[in-house]
Amino acid sequence: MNLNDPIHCLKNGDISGLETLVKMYQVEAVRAADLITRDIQQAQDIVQSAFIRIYDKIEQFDETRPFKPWFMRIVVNDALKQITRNHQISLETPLDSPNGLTIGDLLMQGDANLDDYIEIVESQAEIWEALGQLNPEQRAVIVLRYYLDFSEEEISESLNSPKGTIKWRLHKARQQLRTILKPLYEGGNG
Amino acid sequence: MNEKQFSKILHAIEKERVPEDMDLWNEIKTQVNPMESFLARHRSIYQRRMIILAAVFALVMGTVAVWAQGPEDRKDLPKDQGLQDIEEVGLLIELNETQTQNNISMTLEYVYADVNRISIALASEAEVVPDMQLHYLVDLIDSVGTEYLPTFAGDGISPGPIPQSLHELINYNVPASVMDNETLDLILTIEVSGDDDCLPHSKDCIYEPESLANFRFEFTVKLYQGIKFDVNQTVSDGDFEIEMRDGIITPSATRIVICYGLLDYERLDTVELRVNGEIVTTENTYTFVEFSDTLDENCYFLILTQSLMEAGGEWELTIPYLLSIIFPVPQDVVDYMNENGIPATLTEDGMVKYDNIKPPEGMDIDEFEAIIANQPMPVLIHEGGPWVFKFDVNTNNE
Repeated sequence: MNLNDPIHCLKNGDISGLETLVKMYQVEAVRAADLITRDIQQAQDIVQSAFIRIYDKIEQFDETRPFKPWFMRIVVNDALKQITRNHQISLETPLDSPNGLTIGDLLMQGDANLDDYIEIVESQAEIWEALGQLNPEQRAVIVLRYYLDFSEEEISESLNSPKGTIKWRLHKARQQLRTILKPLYEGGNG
Repeated sequence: MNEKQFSKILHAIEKERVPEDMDLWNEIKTQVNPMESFLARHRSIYQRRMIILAAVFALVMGTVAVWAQGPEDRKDLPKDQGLQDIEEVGLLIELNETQTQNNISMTLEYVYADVNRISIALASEAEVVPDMQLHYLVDLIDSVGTEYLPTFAGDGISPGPIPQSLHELINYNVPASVMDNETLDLILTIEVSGDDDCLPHSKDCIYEPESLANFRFEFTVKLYQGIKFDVNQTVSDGDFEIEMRDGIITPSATRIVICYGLLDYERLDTVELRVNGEIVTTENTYTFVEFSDTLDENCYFLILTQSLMEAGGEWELTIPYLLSIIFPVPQDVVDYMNENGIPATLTEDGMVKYDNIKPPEGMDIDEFEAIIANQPMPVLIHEGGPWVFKFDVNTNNE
């Protein structure tokens, strides 16, 4: 299928172009937004708004470029904006953990390979809970990298951040996941 | 389990949380109005139809076997004020380099670069079968592989219903990584593709464009630096705060960073700049850019496409309001159209459907346009404001 078609329809005033785009990308977009916001209704609202903005600004879209990365980066950025507006989370935010550690504390720990922990912690619920303990920026890079399969360069472009910053955020997000999953790993082994 | 499996878990989680058959279309369609889009474009569509009719007429007369737009038909691209300004002082680089492949020619007309924009004017002519719709994939990189992304739109003729020709000015963003360079070694590639078996929108065949020509232009262009100035002011109208951070004045444009953290539907619409008391902006001399690798979250570029290199002094930049849009109720649009003799219905999806976007039989174009112009319109709401920023700009420093 030639993706230029719905865009072209839309640019020519044919609303069916928007419907085609919605049908094609809505599910993946809502899922990506949900991974960041952890709220399906909010994720749907974000994606809905993003499509309406697309409709409004379609003249700005360069038809020679692929639509999906452009759209997904809008959704991820909007999700990030939304959640950071609602919940100001920082490295000093206490984790919901019994020992009262902060995220910053946990970042200083961790020594094993993330893969090792994930291998033991196969439960989706545990991964979901672990993701919930990342801050929104970290979740965004995880979503872009591991859910939408963006390269580091594409993430850098999507989040308007230098590649070095993205590498750092990915590193920190992985390190933190590793730290959060560590007790489960040790429980699994013990 | 490796990172691929981690990715699979993420997909599995979301598969459970968000069902495959989730559908937002019903919600979205109630918030967009196709007539609004049509209204904005109907004049150009009508004009394009006239062009198509002329082309069909020429074919029927047997005068041409292929559609060809010759150089004699090509008019100069309209240049924005900033490009006119740099042309006057001799900074615009006229290249007029033409390459030809497979009966398609591509001309790189002129280039210009400063830290606010890289402007490239392209023109093509093609001798291909009349129904073939060509697509142009244009990419700009530099000799070390840095990718340049288009920024605000330039004037020109984009591929449309008969896009056998292309004549377009493209403005590119200058990535932060090359801002300090004295020159840029640029590589412009254009892939032209098309499918002569069917039209893109025909329902009885699948449009599968094939590559027809690949053009590559390599050139070095001087990157003009600019005069930087700081504003660092946050102004409130009592409800909303808008921050103006800084700016850069270059020979072709001035770029100012404006930031605000409001809802998505409030957007910048208009500004007025006074320099030493005199208004220097007009409706056509500014634009807003949302996406750039150098922009922070919630920030936008105000691009003034005119040279302000000599415009030092007291600047007063006013944002009179932010704009929100409320679309009309589709049923009201249908009722209005039917009362005025233009057949329209409401689809099951609650959308306005027109039999034709042209005057019904017996109605002339002027009457048709008057009806369209008076239909229930989206309501544009000016919210807040004004936000007035006053600051001094010294254009004598380097």
